[in-house]
Amino acid sequence: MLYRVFCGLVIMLAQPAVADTAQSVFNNYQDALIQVQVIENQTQRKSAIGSGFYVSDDLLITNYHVIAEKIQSEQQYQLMANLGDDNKQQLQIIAVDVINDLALLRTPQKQNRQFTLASNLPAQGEQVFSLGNPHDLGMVVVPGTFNGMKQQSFYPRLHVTGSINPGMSGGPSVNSNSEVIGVNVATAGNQIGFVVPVAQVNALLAGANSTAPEIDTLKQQILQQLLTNQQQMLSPMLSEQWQMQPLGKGLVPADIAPFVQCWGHATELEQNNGIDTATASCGQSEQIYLNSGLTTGKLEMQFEWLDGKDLSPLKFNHHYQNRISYSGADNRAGKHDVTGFNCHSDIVAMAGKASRVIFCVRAYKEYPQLFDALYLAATVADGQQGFISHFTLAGVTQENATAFARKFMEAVVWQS
Amino acid sequence: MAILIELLNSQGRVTERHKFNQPQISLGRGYNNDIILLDPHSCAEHAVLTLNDQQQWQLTDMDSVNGMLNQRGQRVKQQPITQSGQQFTLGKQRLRVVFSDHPVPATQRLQPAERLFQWLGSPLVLIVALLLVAISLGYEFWLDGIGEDSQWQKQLLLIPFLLLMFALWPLLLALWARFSNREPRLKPLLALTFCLLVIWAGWDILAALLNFNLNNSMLTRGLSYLLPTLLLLVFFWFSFALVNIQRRWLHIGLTLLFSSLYWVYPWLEYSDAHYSPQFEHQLLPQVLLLRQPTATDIFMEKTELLFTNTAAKAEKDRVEKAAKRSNAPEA
Repeated sequence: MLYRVFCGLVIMLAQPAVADTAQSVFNNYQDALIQVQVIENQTQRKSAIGSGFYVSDDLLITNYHVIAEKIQSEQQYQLMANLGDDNKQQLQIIAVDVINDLALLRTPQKQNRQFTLASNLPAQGEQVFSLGNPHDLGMVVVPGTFNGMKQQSFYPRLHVTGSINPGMSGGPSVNSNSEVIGVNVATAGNQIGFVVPVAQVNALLAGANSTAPEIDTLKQQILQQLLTNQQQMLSPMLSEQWQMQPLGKGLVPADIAPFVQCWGHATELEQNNGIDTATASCGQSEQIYLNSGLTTGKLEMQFEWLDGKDLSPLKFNHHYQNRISYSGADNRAGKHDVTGFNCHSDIVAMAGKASRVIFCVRAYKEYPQLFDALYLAATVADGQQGFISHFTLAGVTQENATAFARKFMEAVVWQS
Repeated sequence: MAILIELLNSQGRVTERHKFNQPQISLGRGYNNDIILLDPHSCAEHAVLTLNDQQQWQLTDMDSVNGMLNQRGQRVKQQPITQSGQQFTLGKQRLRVVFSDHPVPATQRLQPAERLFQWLGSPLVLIVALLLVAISLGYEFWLDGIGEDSQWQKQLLLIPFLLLMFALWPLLLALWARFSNREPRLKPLLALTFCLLVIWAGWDILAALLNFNLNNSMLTRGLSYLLPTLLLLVFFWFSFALVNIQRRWLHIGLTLLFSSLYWVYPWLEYSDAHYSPQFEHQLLPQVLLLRQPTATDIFMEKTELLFTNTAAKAEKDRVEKAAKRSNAPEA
């Protein structure tokens, strides 16, 4: 009884404190928050919305994905800041960081109120506030809890437990001193939100020129960012020895990089499946958003061990072959962004075992030197057993795709 | 000189041919006539064909109800026969009067493939072909069936219906021949169709072997276009020869038209190479691998071309887009 009263007291005491801070954050910084709108020229209507905030008297931070359409088709869209009361101002893009989904914009309207950037991250469990304009409903402030860095993530992200919703993208998350700890970027549903750390914002500000560059220059910068990023992601995997483990008679990676996660699954042996299978997959599933039709930066591998001991070899082979008859890319890309896949297929000796190996490549139309690669291999059936290995790489150079394929072919083999 | 009267059906084809040496021939529905008409629109004593003193034949209407029409469709009472082949209509019955010195068309040569057709017409060939096709269908069902939910045994019941479906083409052709007063020759047509299916199944096996062993080679690719096309050309050529199409241009035209379906269909099919790549995926058991597998290094060298080709395509697209952008009026 006493315990309950105590708990009640704590809650009653805590509630007004949170509300006070949230209120003061909102009241003090309401003017430093704006809505970013991408307006389609022909229809004069909103095509995308997001939030943005002032970091100096004329510079705004928002997400790259909010303004991506403007970069994709410059002449078709206008970038506007909605300052309320029909006050709309045209925005200029100063710099972007597609890897961390950030954009730096300039407004003609100077603003005295600005957010200050935090010099360090809060402690885990500390109260934070996320600001933005969810679903075009007006500016809101949402309290949440800072839960450290997102684990096993290649891209640095803060994990904030709180309702970050579509439209709040580009808005700031602040600590209790109203200092920006990061930029709202994504949600995994159920109150799990992700925020780009303030360090990335600082890097963007430090690297930016004061004048707005041409769109083509921006695209050139994006290409450089993508090239650097794929190099950073692949070089540790290419230089280090892969930890392997058996899957049937095949060898598959157990651990190749901290940000690559692996999963496994097998059919129930008691059932009559015809073919018993065990599958494993590994991947880095976080993607880089380039435009509504193109995402990149993903890496995934799949492995399948098949055993059809009760089948006739011909029947086994028929079903085995069907499993490799179709394969698709893992990242989203339309014909405006990539060429069609070109493939080479052959029977190759891999560690002494004859295998059907298929290698397909498509090139990025806007970003020269970048390719999506798809690899699929199946050992030639030895009796009623087979082993399929597969990987896709999105947005990599020819050198890295080839080096990765070689490494993969050396490591992922059939042990006889 | 003898005279002939040919009765024609509504399409103008001869159904009866009568030859007379007497100077007077009566036509009508009555049983006392020299030519007894069956058409209910003709009268019992409808018309009479007589040879006059000047040795000229003439056809005279016997005051019939529906009269007598000449070649131009005009009703006439009496018409001299000035030339061989003149046509008349009595009631609804069409007829033609022909002199015995009327020229006949040139003799039709026997089809060069007649011996093949005779062989195809033997019941044994048809039964063997049917059986082989049924077995290959059963084999496909067996191959596909896997696991405890498999129903391949039940699917075998579909085989007779599938065979019937394949028989539709020869049935259609035979029906057409029958209606155009040609010999239907259903049995050789059926045998031809099922032989094609057997050969096609054989080609599938050969293609699998070739694809497995010689991927991407010009030989396999060339054969996989050439052989099926050739098979279809031969099949349709003989199909139309069996129903005895005389006009050469029609025979060639129909053969090319039907064979071209093999090319048109894949051409119409939409393929989304941006998302799902197309590649050779043939696998067969180890024993059927008749060559040394390629070394990894050589395989990887070959992939260099993929990068070069796709990059060139992307570059071309970029240039086109840039040209379009610079041409577009300023927004």
